[in-house]
Amino acid sequence: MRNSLLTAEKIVIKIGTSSLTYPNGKLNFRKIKNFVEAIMKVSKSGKKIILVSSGAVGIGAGRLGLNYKPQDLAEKQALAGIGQAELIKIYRKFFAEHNQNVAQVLLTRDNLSTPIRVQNATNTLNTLREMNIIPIINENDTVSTDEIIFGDNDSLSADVAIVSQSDLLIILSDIDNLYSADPKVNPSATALKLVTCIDESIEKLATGTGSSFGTGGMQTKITAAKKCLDANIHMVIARADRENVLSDVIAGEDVGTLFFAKKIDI
Amino acid sequence: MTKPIKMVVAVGDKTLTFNDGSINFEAFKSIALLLSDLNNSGVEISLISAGAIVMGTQVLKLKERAESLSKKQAIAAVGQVELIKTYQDLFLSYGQHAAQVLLTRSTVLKPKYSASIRATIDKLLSMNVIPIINENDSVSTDDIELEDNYPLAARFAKVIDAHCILLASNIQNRFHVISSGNVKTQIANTQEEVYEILENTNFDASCGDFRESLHELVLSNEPN
Repeated sequence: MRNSLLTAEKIVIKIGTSSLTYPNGKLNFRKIKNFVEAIMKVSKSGKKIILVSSGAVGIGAGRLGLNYKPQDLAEKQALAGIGQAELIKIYRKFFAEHNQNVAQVLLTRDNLSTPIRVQNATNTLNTLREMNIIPIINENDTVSTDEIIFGDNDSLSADVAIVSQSDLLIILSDIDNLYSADPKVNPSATALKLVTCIDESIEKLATGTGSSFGTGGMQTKITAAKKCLDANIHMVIARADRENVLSDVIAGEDVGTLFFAKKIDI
Repeated sequence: MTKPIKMVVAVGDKTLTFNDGSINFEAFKSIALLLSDLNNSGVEISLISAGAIVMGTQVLKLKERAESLSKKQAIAAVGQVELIKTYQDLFLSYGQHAAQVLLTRSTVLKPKYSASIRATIDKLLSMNVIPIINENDSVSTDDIELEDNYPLAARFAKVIDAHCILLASNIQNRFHVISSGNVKTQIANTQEEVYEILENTNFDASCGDFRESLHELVLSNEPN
């Protein structure tokens, strides 16, 4: 089943905030640079890449040197406006070192709520790919507040994979696998390497009781997986700082958890 | 102490480019200096800037303007990165922080969004950050089709209860100061005159509908 990933041509890669920043919110240039290099390696092998990168709020706070976690919504939105400008600037710089042009596309859930807007987004993303430009997508945090409230944009990355008619979504974060239980609490928890159907037992893992395991990221990933599988798109979750994570996933190696879409061949 | 003047600055493509369509970096510098200085003087500034498509055209070294809408949107998505980077670097050279805010015109006036936009902008202004606003071209197509951002400026100014709009004309350093309420539109022929107008005008922010005066101005062909 992993071999099916070898033929994935259009790939959406989503990376979470903490994978790109230091704990104080400031940009981890080394990690971003390595990440960009890894993307370029994949891109040069002929794959078409769309990047979904979150983290604007934390970066804005880091930029202004705030020593507290922003709480109220307006402040988070303001920081997102500062942080997004910073984030896209640094991507621009590191990609330019590889002579790669990038584009910024900011979406809100509302943007994907009517057929005409979906068509607009599809057209823009397809045109960018045709022009060999890597789109870098984020939630338009300064106007919509959905993702800030939900804390992450795994779900948005699934929407992007669907709208851009991609073959594979890779979600990189600090979580390496989906587990049978919270490994922090339960030492006998085992990693699930393959999921072919989001049934009740899987959904239960996501909403797990009491621990941060349920709400701290896996739930949004299961939701994303559900969207992807419904749309016949494979999805992989893996740890961002695992060596060669991107090229290994794309090479069909046994990395992270694969949510396998049973593609119906025509 | 009187409340600070809240001002929306609208800059169109023509201000930022030469006649042949290439980018006029001196114009960018001049705007960044003017706005940083006005901000230091206590005027609260929001900048609405065009220029994403011309920037994108330059980055991609395209010889001619794109015709199809999706191509224009793609170029705008590339150019917005360059535009915000250019402003950010220029503002930072005057120690001024800036933020990016992308809006769609159709959502600006919707209550669900306008309250949130207002709160975000007020927060940025209170943090002494200049918001740089543009149309979110890759999803909405309004401005790309109309090719100017004055309607967005008018709506935005209303949402944040601005006292005035400073409209850059295509003539270098010539500005229109459009006030809300009953104060007539004033013309500044130098940057110095902008300061004089701001100092000598009694702005009234209570009736912030700018659309009519902007409309008249556009019809009179003045900013062009």
